[in-house]
Amino acid sequence: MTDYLVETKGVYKWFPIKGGILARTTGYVKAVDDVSFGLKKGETLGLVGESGCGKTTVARLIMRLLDVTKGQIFVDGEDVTKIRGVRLKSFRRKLQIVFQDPYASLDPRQTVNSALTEPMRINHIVRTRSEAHDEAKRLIRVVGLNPDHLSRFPHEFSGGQRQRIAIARALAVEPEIVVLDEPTSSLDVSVQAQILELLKDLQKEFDLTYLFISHNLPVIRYMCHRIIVMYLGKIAEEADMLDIYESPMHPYTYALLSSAPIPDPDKRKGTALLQGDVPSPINIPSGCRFRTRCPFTTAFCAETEPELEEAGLGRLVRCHYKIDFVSKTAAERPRAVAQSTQQ
Amino acid sequence: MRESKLLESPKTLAGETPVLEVRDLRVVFHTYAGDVKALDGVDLTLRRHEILGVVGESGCGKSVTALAIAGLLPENTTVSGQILLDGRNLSELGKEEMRQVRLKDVAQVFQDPMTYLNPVLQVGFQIIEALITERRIYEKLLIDQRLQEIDQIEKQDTNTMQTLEKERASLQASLQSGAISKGQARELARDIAIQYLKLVRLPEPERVFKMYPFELSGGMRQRAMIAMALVKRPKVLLADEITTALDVTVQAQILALLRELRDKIDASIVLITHDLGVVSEVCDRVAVMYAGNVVEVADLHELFKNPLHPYTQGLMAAVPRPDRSTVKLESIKGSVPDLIYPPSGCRFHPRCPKAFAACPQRKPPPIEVSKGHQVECLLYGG
Repeated sequence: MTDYLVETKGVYKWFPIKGGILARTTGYVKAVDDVSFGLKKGETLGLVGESGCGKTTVARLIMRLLDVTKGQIFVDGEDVTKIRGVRLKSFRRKLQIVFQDPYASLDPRQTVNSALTEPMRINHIVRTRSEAHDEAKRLIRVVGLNPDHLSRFPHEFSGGQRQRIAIARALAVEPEIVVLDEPTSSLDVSVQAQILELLKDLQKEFDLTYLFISHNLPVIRYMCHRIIVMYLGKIAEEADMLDIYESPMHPYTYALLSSAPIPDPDKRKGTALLQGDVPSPINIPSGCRFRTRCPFTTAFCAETEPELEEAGLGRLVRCHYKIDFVSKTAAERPRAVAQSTQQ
Repeated sequence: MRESKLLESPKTLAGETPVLEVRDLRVVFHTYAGDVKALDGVDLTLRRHEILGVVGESGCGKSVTALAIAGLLPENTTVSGQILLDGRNLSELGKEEMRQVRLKDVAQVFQDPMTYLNPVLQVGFQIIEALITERRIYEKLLIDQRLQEIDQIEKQDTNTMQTLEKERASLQASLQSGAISKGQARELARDIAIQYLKLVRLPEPERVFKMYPFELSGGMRQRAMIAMALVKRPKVLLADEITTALDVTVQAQILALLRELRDKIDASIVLITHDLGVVSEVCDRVAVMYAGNVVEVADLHELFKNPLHPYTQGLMAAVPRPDRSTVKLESIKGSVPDLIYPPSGCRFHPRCPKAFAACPQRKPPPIEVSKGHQVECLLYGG
């Protein structure tokens, strides 16, 4: 048996596209296409990719905010894709989510106190009103606000403060896993640093497991232990944080890293490595789905789709060639290796 | 003090005057809640041919500065100070004159292209619309462009000389008589637009010309917006968070394009962003803004090597980096102040780790610490 707290096995989510008068299904948006991974207790797993790569859909599937088309998701060893009723409710206590936009995720007509105590009461974590209030006071201090704030409404707070409230609300039911869906994307950098520090502290204090979704590579580097890079609904590469950043083996990972601007004028990039945009998830390219933008593509890539294969200890790469892009020189990279594999 | 800001960077020619100068710009918004003192004496200098980065957090006034330069602030504002474009004070101009400035000299590109493109008009038409409807303003531009083309074709191919000579003569005639017809303008403008679509590296420019905005991806729309801004050959291009809504790989493409354009076109660019990474990718000089003040200005390398203002230092320590592991991020305590009741003295003092007794009492004057490096902080005198 594995020691994963959350494990997905061959998860698919295809959204049907209906067309015509009979609303027949004319195609599918393949948002998540055969995704399997595991999340260990106490670690932070980063899901990274460009918009439309399926990272948020994966989170929603795990949260049971969406139902899978096919596949299984295990939380604490229990397949949660079909559970209902009481079991679903107790499952929801284990998993909480913090959304990107704290302006949309808090009820504007609910005081902070009510937002924090409602989930406690529903889940019978507290017995009395005063106990709930004490608990809310404790939580609000934990996230760095003060108890005076409890009687206020969301509009009285800044973006960073609202995100703190959203985090406190997630913690109210004492979850094991918190899904963080771009938690700092709408915040200013100085406030972002505060929130990231808070999340790290909370993880230590409450022994939390994080699924951290972001398109921001520096933030992912700062927060995560393990990283999954997604491209068009599939995992392109999965590895430990340092492996991803120091020796990426999928050309997409390499391209993503080389396009992230570095706040250091001595490290200017010059030209952009990737041309064009991500293709539509409705018409996915044949063979390797990254080949239309891959700077190192070969004829072989159009014919055969690569599998997610092991490439060294604890890392998985979906590429025929699996080259270490940082340490290999430019001449070694593309064609030479391509030819040797094709023979 | 004023003089010091005109010191040349190695790239600009000696003795050249800046294309744009903002002096002591103050903007107050009158709202029901009170007067928002959005800009509190902003000084900025944009040198010819440079990319000036304006960086800061939301509410620091970087976009308000851009809107003030373009004369696009709403009615409920009081603006004071000078905005000198090639020595001409824009803040004294009337509405119609300001409209002419926007048509000809100052162009803008914003964060979300879908808001600024008309969804029911073809992209190409939107690019040339100004050139056609205001053809008298653009007459010389339209004809010059075509005359240059004719010269080029003649160099390569002598056979078509006769027909081209005729065209050249008619163009020169219309330039002298001072009126080209709408049809003529349309034809000439179309050629120019397609050239610019090529310049911003849109694939198949002829096809893109006829497409509607919804048919383009985010990156392509932003390229179209840049083409639309440049087609008028502005002196100043105001680029406000143009890559914020884009994915990193597309952002890298647009930044590469900006750098490439800087060498090809004659415009000077003000690039507004909150991202220090973007700044270090493309800018020559950087102005850091906080709560309506420019707190520090320096050449790009100087600023990153030697940040002086506590806010600049805090900002740099607060950003995680993609190329190295950070043990602990240093955050700036508190949040951006409410500009209806701005802090007294230095507006950063309530959040500043180095604040001392004088900070709440006096607004720090700009101090030139080294050549071209200017900071507004009492730690450095004043």
